[in-house]
Amino acid sequence: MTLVGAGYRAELREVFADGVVDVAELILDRYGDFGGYRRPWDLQRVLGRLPVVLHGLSANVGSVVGPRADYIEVVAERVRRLGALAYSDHLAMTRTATHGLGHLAPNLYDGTLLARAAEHVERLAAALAPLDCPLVLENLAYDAQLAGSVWTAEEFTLRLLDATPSWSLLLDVTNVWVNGTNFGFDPREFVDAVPVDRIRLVHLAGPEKFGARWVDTHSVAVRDETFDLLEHTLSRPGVAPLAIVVERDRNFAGADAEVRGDVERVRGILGRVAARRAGARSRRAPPASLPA
Amino acid sequence: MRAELEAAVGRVLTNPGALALLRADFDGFSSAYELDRDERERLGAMRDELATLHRSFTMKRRRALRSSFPYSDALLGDRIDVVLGRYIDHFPPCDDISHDLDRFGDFLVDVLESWREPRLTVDVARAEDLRGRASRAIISGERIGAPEEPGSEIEPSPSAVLALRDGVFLGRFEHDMRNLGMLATSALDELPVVPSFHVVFRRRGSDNAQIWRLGPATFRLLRALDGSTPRGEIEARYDAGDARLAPLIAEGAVEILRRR
Repeated sequence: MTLVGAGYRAELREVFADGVVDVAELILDRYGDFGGYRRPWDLQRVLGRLPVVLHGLSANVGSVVGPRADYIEVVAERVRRLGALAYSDHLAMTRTATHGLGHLAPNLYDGTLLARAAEHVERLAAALAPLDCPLVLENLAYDAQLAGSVWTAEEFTLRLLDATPSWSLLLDVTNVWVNGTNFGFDPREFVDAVPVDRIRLVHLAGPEKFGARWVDTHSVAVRDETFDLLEHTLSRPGVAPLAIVVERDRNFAGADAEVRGDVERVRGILGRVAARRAGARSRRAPPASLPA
Repeated sequence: MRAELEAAVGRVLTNPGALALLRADFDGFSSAYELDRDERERLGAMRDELATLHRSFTMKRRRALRSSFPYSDALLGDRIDVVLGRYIDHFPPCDDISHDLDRFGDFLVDVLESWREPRLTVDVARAEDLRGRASRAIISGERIGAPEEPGSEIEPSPSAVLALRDGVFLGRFEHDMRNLGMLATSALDELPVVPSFHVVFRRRGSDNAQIWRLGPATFRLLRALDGSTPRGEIEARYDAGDARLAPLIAEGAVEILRRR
């Protein structure tokens, strides 16, 4: 059964009230000593009754430099401490050899990076294996792709899936829609190219338009186009993510109701997809008894 | 070396001066990195995309820093862009945003003092800096995880939380800053002009940092304490002195471990 949840934010009190979501996503980098979370006591109550998926910001898998050894230790320790159902991060460059970038950057997508990223994936997966925790990486929303890349970000993602089975995809359908709309490709083509058994987690968030470009701001309700892409994704036979998470990081006035509404729409889509599958199965099923 | 190419890319993404140099003097910029011919050509080919990404990276960083200093932003108007520009040019991002905010607070106060800004502007920046630090203070006792025993108390006891408490700050101002957090940004000139001693802290279980005014004797006493002062001694000395903090210390809601 797919869990439906939201990214934990202290401001979203109603979202994390009893019975609204099945799972909470915590930002791993804020989790440490909870300096980054307001009202840690509220969070502690949430953790007492909801399963958790951890989402990191700094694994640096999409670089040749890769994750720092001490960061991998922190990931493993926090996964173990919380009993996280999954750990995810981004298929992005987050630091160079000398300093952090502060945000998620695309990189030169070529064979050199592919080989190194596969090594980084294996290192992270090896650290998580004793904890029975899957490694999941998220497709990036980008403002530009670097000239000189052999592949697009989407092609690189698919090649990395092919290169090593040690990870699964956190399919951020908003990121796919934003990139497709900004750069003129059909987001469904990417979604359809991902092996169905590799879609482990799904993200949704509301983007905003600045000038001619959409930006994945996590600041408004999820758009209809994103829900359509989610339904398209879930309708592919064999797609059964562990969890679908709504993200909201800004504009918290009125956000409780919007995120609850988004969560309900996700549940509605899951229900429709399940009903269609059940209907298809019943049409295919042989009659209970053969005619005499 | 490919890692050197990433270092060059990272520098351009986060540093306005590096982007300007990349555009104005590509050979000069690229010679600072150990790049082979192919990597140098690739760096040159991606200049336009790096400029696009640079705008996005620095805009997000500016927004994060600016939103943490809303009163200073209101007082300085467009001039805060000058401070932000200088800061971002001097300091790369930190792996931890809290460190970036702490460092920017120091930088902002230093710049305003060097500009000989009115005391109100400097006081507001210092108070926002201290409020932010107190709000972000990591309380080491507040470990969060599933309860170890079913039915056990989830919320840590006061003594468990406060035994390791950090993040209490002292500040001497020329304005009474107690109502800062309640003022509209347009009403900052309503802060009373009076030499004031303040302690800034976040009380356990509270969302926001508080600013309390102290008597001069209490302020001097607190300044004399340091992290090695035994807790019992703090309480004893407090009880003997001025007293507004005494009840909080007695109940364990405040412990003076750090000052500024």
